Amino acid sequence: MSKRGGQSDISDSGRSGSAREKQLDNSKLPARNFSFRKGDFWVIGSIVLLCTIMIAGLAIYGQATRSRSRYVRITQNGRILMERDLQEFQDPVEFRIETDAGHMVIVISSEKVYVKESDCADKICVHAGDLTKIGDGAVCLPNRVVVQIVSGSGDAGSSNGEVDVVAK
Amino acid sequence: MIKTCVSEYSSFFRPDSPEKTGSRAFAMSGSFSSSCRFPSCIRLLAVILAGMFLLPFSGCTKRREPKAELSLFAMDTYVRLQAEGEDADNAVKAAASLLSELEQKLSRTLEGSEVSALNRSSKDSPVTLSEDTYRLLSSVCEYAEKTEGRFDPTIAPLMDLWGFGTEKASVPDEKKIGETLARVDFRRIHLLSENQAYVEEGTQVDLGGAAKGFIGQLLMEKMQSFSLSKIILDLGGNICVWSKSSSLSVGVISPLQSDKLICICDSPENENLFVITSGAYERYFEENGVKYGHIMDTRTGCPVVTDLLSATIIGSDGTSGDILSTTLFALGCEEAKAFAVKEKIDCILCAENGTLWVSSSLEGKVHEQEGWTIRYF
Repeated sequence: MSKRGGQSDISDSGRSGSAREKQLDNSKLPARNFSFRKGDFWVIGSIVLLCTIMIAGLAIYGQATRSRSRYVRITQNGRILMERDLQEFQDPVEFRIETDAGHMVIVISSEKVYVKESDCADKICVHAGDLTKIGDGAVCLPNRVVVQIVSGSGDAGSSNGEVDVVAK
Repeated sequence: MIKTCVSEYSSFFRPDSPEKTGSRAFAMSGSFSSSCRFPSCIRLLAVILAGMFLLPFSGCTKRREPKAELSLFAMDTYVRLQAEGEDADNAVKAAASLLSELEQKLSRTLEGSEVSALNRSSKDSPVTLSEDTYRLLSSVCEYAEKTEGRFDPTIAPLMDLWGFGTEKASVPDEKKIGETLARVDFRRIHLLSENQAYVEEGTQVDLGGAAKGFIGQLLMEKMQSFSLSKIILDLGGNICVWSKSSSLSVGVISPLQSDKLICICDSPENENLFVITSGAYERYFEENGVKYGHIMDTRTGCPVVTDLLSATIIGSDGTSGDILSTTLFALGCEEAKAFAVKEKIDCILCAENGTLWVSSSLEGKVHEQEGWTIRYF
């Protein structure tokens, strides 16, 4: 033990010299490089493998967040009339609400939700157009109806994915 | 290139202290060169693995703070109060009750409100207003003066004549507009000492043009007396945000597409930021193919004709923000720019050609969105 250990202590040149002897026939490469390659191939391979796993993981995670389930929530006077997963609406459904001001028709499909008709004067809710992303919403003041796209956990989030709140 | 990196790497990880027992042990095992790097490989891998495992936790080290959110209809609009922090629940509830209290005072349509009482007052019988109402009324009059009446808190009868917000919104005849316009003049509001005030016969005060900003400010004050880390108030699209130790981003809606933004503003840390937008893209009616917006020109008695699509005020004061966004929108691009420079107002003016005119003081704090170009003035 002490003998071999001592040998390693002697010098660098001694070590590379012995390695070179082994490789002399096959290659003129410095032995250090050759022996290095042998050992570290494993490391590089592992790193590449780990990176691949990490990237794949992130991609899957990102995909999962993007497609996290969207729910439509309709409230009238603060009372929840319905809250259902958009996936349930493979065929578009017209949802009719009777209100003090008249009626409202909200169209729900797996892709989007929009207010089709409303008896209110200003039609701001109709102008709000298609609601597709979590946080999107249409508000009808005269009818006191709010249509929102929320996440499965009921979080309305912001009105736009990249900002905390939207000024209108 | 690769070769260089590799050799550097190898010399870096070569055990350079043979005293270490680990190195010695491996040095023993025969094929010295490769095996002596084995512990280094393990070490390297350990570091990478540790980093990988720690990565997802870095977000969790911060304790999740309680959140509270409350949405309600108030002040003829939809209000959303959001708070984050220890006292979030109480703060939101306190704000909601303050909101309804203020609404009771400031609404023109509620019989028992102070503004209704003011509108019934006369020179002989002035009304005594609460501190809040008087304060708002006086700052409203002050801004009416500053804008030379382009913003006028007595515009309500004209709005009623046009029928905005009702089924029978239509273009009234000119004679009626003229008659009504004669009663629209903020100089017909008289502020007396000791919170007293009266209006001249036929004049109707509506603080709606400033109330949302004013209330936003009072709600903010109220909520900040609780232990919170973040507040987001949305009073019918008038935004007020505050965050103790981070920056929040506030988007400004596109006047052309309600699902798009024109720009995003960053809020400063630990400071109130009001973002208040005015435009005629949401409240309008159409007659014979012409769109009539809800913002009135106090000189003509008709909806304003402007080359702006919207005007947004960025600032720390809600009351003035609410008033001035309307005013700048009504002034039109060139006049608005001049007024903003003169009054040192930070604003974003959205012009018809896709240009966003942004105050130079906001440089770096506003980020344009696709389809819009920022130009500073």
